[in-house]
Amino acid sequence: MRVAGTAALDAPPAQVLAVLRDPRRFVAALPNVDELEFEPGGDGSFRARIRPAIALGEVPIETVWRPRALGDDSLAYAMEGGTGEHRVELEATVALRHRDGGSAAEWVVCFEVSGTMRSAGQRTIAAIVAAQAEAVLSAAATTA
Amino acid sequence: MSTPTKTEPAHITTWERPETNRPAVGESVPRKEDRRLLKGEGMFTDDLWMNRMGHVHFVRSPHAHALIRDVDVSRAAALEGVYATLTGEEVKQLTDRYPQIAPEPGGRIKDYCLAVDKVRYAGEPVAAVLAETRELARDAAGLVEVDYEPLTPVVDTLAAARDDAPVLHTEVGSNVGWHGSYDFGDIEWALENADHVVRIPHLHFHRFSSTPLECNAALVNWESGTETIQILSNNQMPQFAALFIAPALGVRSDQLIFKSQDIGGAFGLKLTSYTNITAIALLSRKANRPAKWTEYRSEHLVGSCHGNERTFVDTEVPVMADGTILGFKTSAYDDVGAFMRYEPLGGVIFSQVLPGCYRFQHLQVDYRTVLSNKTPVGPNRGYSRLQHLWLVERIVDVVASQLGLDPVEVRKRNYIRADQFPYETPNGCLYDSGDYHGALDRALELVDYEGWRRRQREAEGSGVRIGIGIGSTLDSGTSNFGQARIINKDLPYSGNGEAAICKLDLGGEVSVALGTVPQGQGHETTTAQVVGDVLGLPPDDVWVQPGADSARNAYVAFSGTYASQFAVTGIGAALGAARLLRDDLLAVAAVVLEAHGEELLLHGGTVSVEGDEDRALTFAEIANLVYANNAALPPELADQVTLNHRYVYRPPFGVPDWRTKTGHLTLTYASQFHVCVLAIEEATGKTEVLDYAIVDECGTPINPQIVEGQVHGAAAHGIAAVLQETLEYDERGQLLNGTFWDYHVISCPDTPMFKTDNLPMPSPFTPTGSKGMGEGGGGPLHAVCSALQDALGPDVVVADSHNPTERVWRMLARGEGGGRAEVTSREAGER
Repeated sequence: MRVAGTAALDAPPAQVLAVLRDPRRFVAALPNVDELEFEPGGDGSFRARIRPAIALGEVPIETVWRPRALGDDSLAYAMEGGTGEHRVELEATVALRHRDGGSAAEWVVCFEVSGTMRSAGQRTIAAIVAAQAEAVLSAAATTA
Repeated sequence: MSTPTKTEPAHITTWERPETNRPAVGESVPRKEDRRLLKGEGMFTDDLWMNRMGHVHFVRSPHAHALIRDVDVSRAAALEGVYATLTGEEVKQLTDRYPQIAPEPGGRIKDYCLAVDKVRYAGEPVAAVLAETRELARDAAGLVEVDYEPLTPVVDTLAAARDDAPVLHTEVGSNVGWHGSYDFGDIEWALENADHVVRIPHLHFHRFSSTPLECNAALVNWESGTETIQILSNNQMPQFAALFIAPALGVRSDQLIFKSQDIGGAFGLKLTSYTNITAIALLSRKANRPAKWTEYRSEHLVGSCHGNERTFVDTEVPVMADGTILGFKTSAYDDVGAFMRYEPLGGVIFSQVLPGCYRFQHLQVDYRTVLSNKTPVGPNRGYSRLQHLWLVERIVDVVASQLGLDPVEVRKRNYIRADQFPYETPNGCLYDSGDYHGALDRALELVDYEGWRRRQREAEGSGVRIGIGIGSTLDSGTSNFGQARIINKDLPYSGNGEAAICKLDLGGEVSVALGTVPQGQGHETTTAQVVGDVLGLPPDDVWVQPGADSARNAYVAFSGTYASQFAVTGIGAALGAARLLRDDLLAVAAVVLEAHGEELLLHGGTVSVEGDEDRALTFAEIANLVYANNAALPPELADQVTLNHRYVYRPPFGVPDWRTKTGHLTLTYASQFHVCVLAIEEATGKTEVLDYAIVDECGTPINPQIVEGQVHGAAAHGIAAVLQETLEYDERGQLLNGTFWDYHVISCPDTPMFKTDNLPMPSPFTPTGSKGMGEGGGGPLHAVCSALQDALGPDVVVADSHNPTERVWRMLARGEGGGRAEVTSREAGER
């Protein structure tokens, strides 16, 4: 599933990207994350436990995030994770440009949900992803 | 092969003086079980509790096809309150693979209660956790780490059947688990000599399911001291389950103590819950405490079982100029999902109704059971027959549509006539009774068929199309298990049977224990009606013990409720046991009252001498004499009577011939005739059922209201299947409809008002003249598709059994989403 959107941010692109490229600050902006662990190797990848909520309650999912630089004004994260019975994969891309002293952000998230969450997930996760993408960008602009 | 013989009498022997005692059979007496069910006082599996019990949660695969590299339960096991965990590797060590019904190659499948080394559908159980609470078990299951190596899934049925497809079970060698050919008459001759040959390249019967109010559930206690395994569950056929569980666990079958009380629907889906029960039993043994599991709805939809999906390829139909259809040939690909389990029984059960309601003589079906990375199937309502009957009804409608014939006239020209019953089909099945022409006429009358044809013409050009469709269907019931030999000649099964116990208790009370495991069909009521009539009691005075209980011993190997058989087997057993009890009562009374048996009357719990009512014994007095005062009886009488009788009803079957694939595969053939009138909004494809009539025939109705209720239920489910209910997978094998958000179960607002009638044609082969009828034969699938075909015309073939708004719109607006047909006609004088 693919979800895309735009956002107008108060901070300029470089400051927003600085937050998003710093995994600690990025994760701080990401809702429902309660554990963070960096992988050795220094490529910026990290593990985080996220807690999306489905009908059965919150489902803690161990995830691995790998940042990928696309250019001066763009950034992408690839994430995969799951439990023994759920699986989530996504690729999130954000591009920023200057606008009125702040930034105009265009973002795209492509994701797949597998397992028993799939049915509920396909109904709810587009809205959840959109809300979280906007929340992350907003938080990044605020803390920049 | 023996022929079913006409039983005598073909009606119930009721009270001795029917002119003064009105029999309950045939009356719509209120359902006894509703007293507790409507007050919320039913006892379902999830209501049950045992001291020290824990709760089970299954870890299910998110992948449709993957190797299991590792399962790490250490984090889950370390959690406080977790009693035990179970992995596939342990299962492989502790159990044997389940026996398979299938012969080779499908019979080579290694099927365990948890995935071993590999997962084959999204939702397959990989591990299980037993914990103090249900919530803790679920949380702990989230800590189980499974390392998967994803494999390419195969989801499409025809692609799965190809030689180059990824193979689910390497031991099988391909994804075709069973292959059989049925060939009766001479189809090639018929195709050669017909005036027209109609060819339909592709028809698809979609995957859907039933949605019982209560999902699967079991509470299992492996008692180490007694070495018994108590299984309180809603499995609908416990002795069948025992045939799988006992050898897998390596225990004696009598160590398995099955019990059930109320079951909130089953529809065939709860036949294969033996896999879950096995895993729960292992957890119980490991933790030395009872283990309980109640399936979540999302688990049920993704991980329980679904109805069979079937694709028909290259169907050819020879037709004469007057509309006589000579038969058909087709290749059927039955998609059974990831495991065989109850399959390939579908590969023979469809042939119970091979020609449908018609006199077709030339029939050829090439049948393949295909494995795919989808949830395994189970014998869902109308199992295997409704897919085939849908094909037959599609054939009739497509022939009528393509050749410009009246679908009513084509049916009537080809129906089996009332004077031809009992009717033997080309494969040796014996249809017991029916009046298909009369039933169709009555259904057409109920909807005012001519009036709707007039309104259909008037609606032309209005933007709304009206379609009128017919569904003629059969509900074949009381299976001959000998048919299993047609798919696996080495299976030692034949015939059928059911047991019941009828006894007089210490205070003179009459009770009946059944082996039928009812799930909402009203067995307590209908049994009480029949037994009450035999013993001269009102139904309220007969206690029918609900549910199953191994300890009662009211069972045989295939006891249970499935395949539309209770009205024959369950009632037959209860009737036989009641008659034996009646004989005891009369024997005691004759001696004590110094009367001849023919002078005695049974009435209101008393045996009296006709014309001299002061000479009477109450049932309580007879119970006293036999149970507590037997020295007062002549010794030869005391030795003779027990007031406690177990009777096994045995239908009059022989063993089918596996070589020729012929024989009496089932005993009764209830029929239903549906007429559906629907409107299609041309701009959107939205459909609305405007009128709907059903005429059913199920022999002698024991309780007409219960019959009508089951007709309504089956009709509602069938309409939902066509318009709302479907189980769809994406290309990765992920189920897209795993909750009620996406799986649209029918509700009252979606259900049209049904016009119903019943035309009894008693079966000559059954104890009461009744026939099983609860499954319904998928009549609405045929009738709604037929109505769509009628509305859409000959340019498109309604080629799928599922037709939601979007597909109807595509067929209308773009000519997409439907199928096509070709007609080859012989030139006049060519023959």
